[in-house]
Amino acid sequence: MSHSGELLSALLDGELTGEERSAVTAHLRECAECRAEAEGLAGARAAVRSLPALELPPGLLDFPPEVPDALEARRRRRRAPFAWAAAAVVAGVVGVAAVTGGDARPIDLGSVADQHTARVVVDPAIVMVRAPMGAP
Amino acid sequence: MRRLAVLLAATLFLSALSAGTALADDALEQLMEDAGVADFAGRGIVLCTWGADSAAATYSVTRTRGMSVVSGAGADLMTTGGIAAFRSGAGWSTVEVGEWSPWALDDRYTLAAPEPAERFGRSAEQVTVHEDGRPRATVVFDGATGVPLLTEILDGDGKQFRVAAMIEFGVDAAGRSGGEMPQTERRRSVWASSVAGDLPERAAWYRRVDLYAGPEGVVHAYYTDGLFSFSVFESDRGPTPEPFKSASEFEAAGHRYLGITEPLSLWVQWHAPDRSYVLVGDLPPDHLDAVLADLPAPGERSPLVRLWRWLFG
Repeated sequence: MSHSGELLSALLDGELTGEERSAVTAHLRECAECRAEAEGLAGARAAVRSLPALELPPGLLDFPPEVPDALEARRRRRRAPFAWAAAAVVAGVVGVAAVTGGDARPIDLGSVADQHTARVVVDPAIVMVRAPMGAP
Repeated sequence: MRRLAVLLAATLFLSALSAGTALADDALEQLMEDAGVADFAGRGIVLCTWGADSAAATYSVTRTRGMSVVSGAGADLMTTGGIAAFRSGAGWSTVEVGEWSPWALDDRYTLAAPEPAERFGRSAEQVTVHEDGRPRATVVFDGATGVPLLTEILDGDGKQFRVAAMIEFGVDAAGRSGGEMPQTERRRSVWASSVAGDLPERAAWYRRVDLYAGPEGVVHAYYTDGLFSFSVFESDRGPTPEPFKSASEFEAAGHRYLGITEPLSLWVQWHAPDRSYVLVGDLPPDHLDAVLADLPAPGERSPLVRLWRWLFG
């Protein structure tokens, strides 16, 4: 068990705040045990994800018609190709850099701000005190 | 990251007032109708204080022939009809909202009768909005155009939470060119969705009035009580957006959240075991506590689940 515990996996998921991330990456620089665990995790992930996909026998997945659509919608929301991300993780861990996330991307705050604003302004009840501001 | 415009607003309303405020209703409705067609130009300042944080911004606004152009902090916003165009360093982009629900005011709000006032040497009217009998907002409307010249929002302790004030105002915008919506390839249309994810129909007294497919597959739920509003964006659990990694932590409803105060909006971010959330809106801090209590709670994935997802996606 590493000294970093859950913080290590949170670091790999890119979920730490700046202060926490700095603390964990600093610890990784100093601690060979944790560094080895991080490298092991990155290596295992790359190995698992490099395994070939298997074709399922025809007819195995005879779902009702709505199920494939739901699965596809969920799949589209989830994952971009992961090869580059795995490589980045390996490189980041080996270099003891700040690994800022798995292969999921964070919500785009610029798009979020735009869409919220667009909804707000069509509300007929909104009155005209308006001011643009930078998203965080 | 410096990116674009959220605007927001002092909200007031046209309808759904209690019977005891019928006179205020009539007067305010007239002001709102006037404001809806007024051409004007002005400059304003907005100041928001939340706990130890505060933020301020200035902006200029022109409205001519139904098109509003608002500029400030390196960003521009143009709106007309259901179309909003945004300009930041990356150029223009456009979001068109195709559908939205009718507006309604929660009955926790009542209006006092308008009082005569004066601003910029012009005749004005001041309206106070009460929430459960306590003052929540004061708005000073220009008497001739109905345009709000000063909006003050109070928090639950009666302290000033946000103030938006015109520091210059004129009605000589009439006859100016209203400009045209910029042509841009970055254009999105937003339509109602039936996918609510884990987001409830109500958060405190706020109603989830609209659901949309958000950017990049996230779920966008829009909540309002008629006076304040916020959006919650839900995605599969992902990394914390960069600006929040240096944000202030605060506690609400027994959980820890990351928050950023902007002049016209509060931003909150958190992770539930399988989802990530961003909330953005103009609601006051005392409302935020009650709202967060009804939204999916922050939570950690177990180490095994985290490892499984990290390995296999």
